[in-house]
Amino acid sequence: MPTPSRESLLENIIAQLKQIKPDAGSLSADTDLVSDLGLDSVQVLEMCTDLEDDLDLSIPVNRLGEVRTAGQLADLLQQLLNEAD
Amino acid sequence: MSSTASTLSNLHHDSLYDKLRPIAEARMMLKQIGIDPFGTAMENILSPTEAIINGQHTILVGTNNYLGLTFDADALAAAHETLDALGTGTTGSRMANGSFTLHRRLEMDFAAFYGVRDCILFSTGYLANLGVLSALGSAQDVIVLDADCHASIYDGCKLGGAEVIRFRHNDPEDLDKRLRRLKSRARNAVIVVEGLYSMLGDVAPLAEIVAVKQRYGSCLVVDEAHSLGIYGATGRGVAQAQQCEDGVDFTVGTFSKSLGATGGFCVSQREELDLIRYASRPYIFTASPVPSVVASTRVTLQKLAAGKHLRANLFARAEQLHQGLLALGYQPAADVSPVIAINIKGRLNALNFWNKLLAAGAYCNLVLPPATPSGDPLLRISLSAAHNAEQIDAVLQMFADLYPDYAQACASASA
Repeated sequence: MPTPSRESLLENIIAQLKQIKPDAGSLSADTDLVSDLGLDSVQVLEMCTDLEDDLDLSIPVNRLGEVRTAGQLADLLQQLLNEAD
Repeated sequence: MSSTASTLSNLHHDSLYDKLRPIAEARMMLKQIGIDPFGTAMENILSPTEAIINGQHTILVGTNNYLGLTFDADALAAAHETLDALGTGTTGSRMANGSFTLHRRLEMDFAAFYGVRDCILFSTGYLANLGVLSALGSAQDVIVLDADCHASIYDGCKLGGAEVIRFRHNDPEDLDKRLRRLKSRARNAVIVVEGLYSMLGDVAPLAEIVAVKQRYGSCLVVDEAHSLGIYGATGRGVAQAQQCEDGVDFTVGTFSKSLGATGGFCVSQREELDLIRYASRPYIFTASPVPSVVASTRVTLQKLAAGKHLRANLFARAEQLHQGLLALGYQPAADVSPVIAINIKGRLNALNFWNKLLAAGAYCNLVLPPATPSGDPLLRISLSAAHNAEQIDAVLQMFADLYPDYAQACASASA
């Protein structure tokens, strides 16, 4: 299976975020998961579990520490997918 | 201006303390509504199941005192005698002046109780997880843990610097999937689960988890903090109850629940356990457990092992309360266990419910997100072998009187 593009990863993330925060309005790569959307750590981890199933990968919790925005999460996913190849 | 309001106004943006603002705001909210479930003071302890709180006689249904041994006469006598003989504290680490013969005796007691080679004592259960997991999982290793594991497990992983992967709570298939993705790294992976999960009161499918672990040749650590004394023929925990102890590499536990004191331990059949002492910073750089606590724990461990009657009464009371709550219309989050959790939708609803229950004469724990696995606030009840049927009936009557509040919270959430 070809590695999904950053754009499609970002679309997937934004779709997940809209499910958690239906009233969040317009979301982009710069949307901050905590300060813009008010997600708590458990909500972020739950969202990651769904993304992990979609992409058949595991996201190490300790690598999520530097992720602040939807775009940074897309970058991490792409990096992990490349490492798994 | 109240001290909390003053603290809040002093938190300037972009200051060192700005990150504490959400905590200050949450505390301010609690002050404004006049309810503080996180600062309740027990003015006097009357027995393992009763205390004076806010000047009122209160039934305790939130203490983790599962076997009710905190006032055991033999344990008290051993503690008093040792306090007089060995003093109030060790004033040192096990690596320095803080190793007494008594500590080693309790380690041998635990090893004999579990039928394994060795044991290490820690000063708290939290430190036991920190000490064992940080020593097992270093930067090149991977730890695969149940998503609902206790904060001490997450913190232990962080201290060691291992890569940390979560699997879905109590889902051996998801664990299998995570290990498969690790390929050759799975052989050295450390899997971490708990026996009884403390928030919702659900039990791990440990025999299935052991089967997965054995397929990949990984290492399995089981935290039996809340299941010690409760499950298994002699109270060794869920692994004993599910007859899969041989598949567990390291068992971690605490003195602060069924054993009625404060402290932690790790037991193992593996000879590497003794080396963990020398690799465990929370073991090396903490003063060792207080001698009187070690003495009382030696006694309560014996009582725990012989405590079939205590476990029988504990589960009878758990069944009584669980079935009683169901009959009233409440929805406990898991099957019958000594921990009964009820989700209450909405923080304010949960705070008010908890406060009314306390005013009626029962103390339980209130847990708010993100500390709850469900994302909803929950009332967490824990039972004791020392509870009698009349106390549980009295608590059920309080829940019956408060049912309209619960129903309203459920209705407002679904509206």
